[in-house]
Amino acid sequence: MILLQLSLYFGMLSLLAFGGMPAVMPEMQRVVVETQGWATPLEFVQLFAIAQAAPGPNVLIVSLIGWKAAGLPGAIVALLAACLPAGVLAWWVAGLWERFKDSPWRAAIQKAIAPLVVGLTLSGGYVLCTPSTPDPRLWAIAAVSATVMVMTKINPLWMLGVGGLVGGLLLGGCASTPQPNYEAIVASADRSAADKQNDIRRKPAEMLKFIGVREGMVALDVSAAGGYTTELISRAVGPSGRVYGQTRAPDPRQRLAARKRDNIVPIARPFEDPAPPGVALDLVTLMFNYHDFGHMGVDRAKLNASVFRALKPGGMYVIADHSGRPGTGISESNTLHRVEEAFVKKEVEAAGFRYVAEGGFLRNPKDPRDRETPEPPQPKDEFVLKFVKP
Amino acid sequence: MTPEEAAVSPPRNLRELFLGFLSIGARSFGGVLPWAYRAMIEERRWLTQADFAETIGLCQFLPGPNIGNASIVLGKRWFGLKGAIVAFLGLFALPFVWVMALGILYLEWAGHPVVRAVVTGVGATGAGLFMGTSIKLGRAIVKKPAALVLIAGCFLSVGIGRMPLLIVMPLAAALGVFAARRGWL
Repeated sequence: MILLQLSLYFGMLSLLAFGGMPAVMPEMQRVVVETQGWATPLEFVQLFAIAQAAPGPNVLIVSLIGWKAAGLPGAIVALLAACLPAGVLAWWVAGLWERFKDSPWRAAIQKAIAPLVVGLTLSGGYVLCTPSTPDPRLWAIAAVSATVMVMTKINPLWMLGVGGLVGGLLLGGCASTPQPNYEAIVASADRSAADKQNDIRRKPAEMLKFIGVREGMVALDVSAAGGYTTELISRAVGPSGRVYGQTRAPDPRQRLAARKRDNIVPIARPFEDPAPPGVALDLVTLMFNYHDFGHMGVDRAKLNASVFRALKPGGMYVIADHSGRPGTGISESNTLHRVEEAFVKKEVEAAGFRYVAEGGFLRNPKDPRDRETPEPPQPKDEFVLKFVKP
Repeated sequence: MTPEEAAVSPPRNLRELFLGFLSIGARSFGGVLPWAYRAMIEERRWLTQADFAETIGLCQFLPGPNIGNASIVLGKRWFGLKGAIVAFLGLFALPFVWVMALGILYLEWAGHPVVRAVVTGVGATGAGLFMGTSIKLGRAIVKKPAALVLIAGCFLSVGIGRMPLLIVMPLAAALGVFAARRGWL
């Protein structure tokens, strides 16, 4: 399915690529990043960089994209699709070319295409150095590189080398801390008062740290509801990452969209198949709703299998829920709104996941777990489980 | 027949054709065109300079990756369909392996902040090269107001407005041909 999508899309681009690949780079970025989600904005720039630095025709960026979307078959299919339609056209026109040497139409078309190639190549440059939020450092590097290219005849390979060095110096410090500062994220002044109220029982800094959210990750928050967790993850993955907030039906209150964060993508999909198609995920979270799937009649084996498929190898699946007493399984789904930890673990492992760790930061051993809200009033006993796709 | 034409000797068999294009792909750091010129004109004398320029001109005129098109056109000229396939495979075989190897290596290290910063710097430099290319190409034509309008229209709609190329391209091409027929370009 993805292979078909890749071949149709790059096949179309092939026939639009007047003046070569630079003219279709903005279009490719639009579809790959914004429509299909095969790569994040920053990843796209980096794939482009790899294709530029490697020897060979610059069309090879499509192989990297195909590879990210569908592995080695994707890489081959994307390359053939990007080359063959235009190649067949060239094959056919080559014979006619001589004959139309003096045709006024040939001259007119040649003249007509020149400004389009200029405008589209310029767009390609602009889009590539403006990945998500405008970064003046990237603009500066691009501006210097453009100037040097226009003024001198230095081999572009040297310029790419120097650009990489400058990038390492300029961007290294702050562009990408390996681990975000979770306390600072939770303390952000622009988080809503309602979210901050929730923090008291949710312990978000501990949660983010336990999950190990990193910048640039592509995440899915299953059953995102109001988006409390979705927003925290969105802040932690940063502009180079993305988080899909899944709800079963479009939210009439548009609560995810109301959070006004560029890297949150609200999606309405069934719980049995919650992941956006064709996107390889680094992380899936499911916060305090696994128990509900019991009384809602959600096929949890399908859900877990679908999450398994959507994750990259090494990707994480983190589930938190209200703890139920031993032997209760998921039977208190709609009464006490609790589920037994061992039960969840067994079901998730059955889908092929490997259990990694339990976060103890929401535990309360004093909770008798025989009511929905413990008496006397105290925090509920809650578990957080982390699994990994081997 | 000019002396240059007399010295030309096209590839004698598919093996020669394949190896020739393989040698172009293998070395083409920083752009394929200069290496294609060196291999086909200077080293192997497969065709004349004028012939080469004409072929490349055709491929730049047509959509698609220029040098990929050139391999198909030249392969066809010398050995028909087999030639087109062999030349194309020869050109892409090694660069495909290089780029995939580099991509896999990169993904291994993508979590490392310095590696990411360096690669992003290379990307921004490449973006600048695109801008430089468009300035070089544009200098010759911006004196015509119609060309300037078309350039700005493409940039605003596709670069800033992120409109689909499938809508912009036919429209802009039609306007361009119209302007060119009127002598505005």
